[in-house]
Amino acid sequence: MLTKKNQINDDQQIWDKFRSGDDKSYTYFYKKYVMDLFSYGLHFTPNRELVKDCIQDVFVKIYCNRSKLSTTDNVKLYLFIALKNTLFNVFQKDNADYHIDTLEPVFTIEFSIEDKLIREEVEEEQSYQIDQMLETLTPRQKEVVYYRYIEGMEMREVCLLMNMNYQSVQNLIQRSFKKIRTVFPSKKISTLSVKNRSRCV
Amino acid sequence: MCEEYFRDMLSDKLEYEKYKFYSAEEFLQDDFFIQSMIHPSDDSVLFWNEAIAQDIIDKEEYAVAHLFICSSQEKRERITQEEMFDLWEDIELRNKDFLKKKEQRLNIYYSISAVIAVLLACGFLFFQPIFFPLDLRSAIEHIDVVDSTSSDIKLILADNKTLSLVGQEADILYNEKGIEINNQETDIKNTQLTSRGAIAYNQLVVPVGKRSMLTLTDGSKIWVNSGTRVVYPVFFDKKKREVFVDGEIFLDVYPMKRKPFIVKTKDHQLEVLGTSFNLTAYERDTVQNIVLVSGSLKVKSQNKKEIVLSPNEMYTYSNGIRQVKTINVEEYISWRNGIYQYQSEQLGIILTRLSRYYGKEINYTDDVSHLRFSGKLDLKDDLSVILKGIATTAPIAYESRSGKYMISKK
Repeated sequence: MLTKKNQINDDQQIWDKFRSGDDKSYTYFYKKYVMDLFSYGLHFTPNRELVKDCIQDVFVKIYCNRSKLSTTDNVKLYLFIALKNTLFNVFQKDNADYHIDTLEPVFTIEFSIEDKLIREEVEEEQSYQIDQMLETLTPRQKEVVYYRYIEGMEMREVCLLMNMNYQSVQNLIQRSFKKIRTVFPSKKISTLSVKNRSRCV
Repeated sequence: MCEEYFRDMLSDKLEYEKYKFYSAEEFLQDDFFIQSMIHPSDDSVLFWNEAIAQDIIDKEEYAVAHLFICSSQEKRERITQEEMFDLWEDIELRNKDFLKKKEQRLNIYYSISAVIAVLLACGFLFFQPIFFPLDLRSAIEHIDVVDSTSSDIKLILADNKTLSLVGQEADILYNEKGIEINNQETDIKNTQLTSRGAIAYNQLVVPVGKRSMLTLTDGSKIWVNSGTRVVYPVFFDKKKREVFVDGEIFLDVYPMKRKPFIVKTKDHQLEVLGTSFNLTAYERDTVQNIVLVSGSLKVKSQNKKEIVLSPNEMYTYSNGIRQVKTINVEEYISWRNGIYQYQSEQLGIILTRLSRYYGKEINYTDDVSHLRFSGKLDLKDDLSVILKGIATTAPIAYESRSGKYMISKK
């Protein structure tokens, strides 16, 4: 937590330097966040080129408007929101062109337990059930799970990204939790032992 | 030491207490727990191991929450190094393009300032011009022509005191109190009049190979190119603003409705009209040019009818013949940004400008001078790099001997 806070403070200083005309800071943010932004964008579309175009638009836009940008202590969130808006605008425009009614791109994600050890410790059956359970989440629930448990964002940040109030996001999460209880109804994970490890990724 | 240890123990204890009856749902709502799972640190690993070992938290609930986060990880789509690099190149290209356009926009639309650039001829013929008012004319006459072989930028004050400015470029700013040079205040005081009671004129001489930026007391800005002399009053007259130029400048005039800005050269008088324009003029040796970026500009030459220029027009004066044509302004003002840009221009003209810009002697034969060249030259490059570049597109060969360049047709 502490390291995360420091990170954010550093970002704010560098962001302010960028706003006052420093090009090195600009390059710094590109290098630092382009990976995350790319992975993020691909949750809304499988089209790599489109995501890259939108990332390009985001970076060009902040460059051209740098003197008008406000200060921020959360550059990553700022860029994520900008990318999401840019992507959605493109979809909206495309929709208008093709007279398609679906307005919003759908959040998709392919969950996978990457840590083999964990999988070994969970019974085959349970592991299968969890996968099934995650698959049944709605796109919006998946999106919250992604922000909260993959990107590690705080609720405040999730609300801003989803443009929803705290209670609505909370409801989405609670509904996903209910599904956990369908897999582990008796508050027991039979054979899972936790041991000396708490790492997932 | 001991005390600190207990304090840590105590605060850990309190932290553990917080999680005592946590359900899986509660763990999953806790930022510290989430961070510990996805970005574990030595401290956080230790913390949770202890909490479990000491049986403080509900192990099963913890395990459910833990499993939930582990399961919700994803197979990440990654951008490749190559894609990342290409994307960056595209971004940089668009940004550069933006800066260029912004520059043009500023020149054309933002009429807070007006721009002129002009230039002129080699050698001064002070007695010929008929329309110089007495004060400016006598001022020019009285000011000694500076030794042009000197390699420093020189600022000559009203009392003939001369300052030599070291460096490739100087930034000179006149404010109400005095002069700032390269953003440093100096102890020079601005005076309205000379000791003899005449209006105080200053003179800036920029030798070949150097450039300067001059901000006058009215806020007008002059970019001064190589081999140029500018004479200007420290404080302007109540009715008009007048400066004298021999060489090449880009002038950004601060608009004042009732106080026209007048630029005088050996053969011409330029008057900036109104407030909403920018204008550029240019020199090419025996040929003289004035290029207007925006606004409108009145050009008078001796005994001839005045001409009013519109934006994107160039006025050319060569051997007494006057011409106005539409041009791409950018080609003529890009030197301020360290670039020369040409569209089918005579090589002789380009080489003369390069010679002046770099302060190097370039000799060439007649057949070379009539070749035409198009392209961009980056003035940050060494002169030999630029000549090499021209030689790859034009049928010329060059050699350099003791700092002089000789160019011949291949």
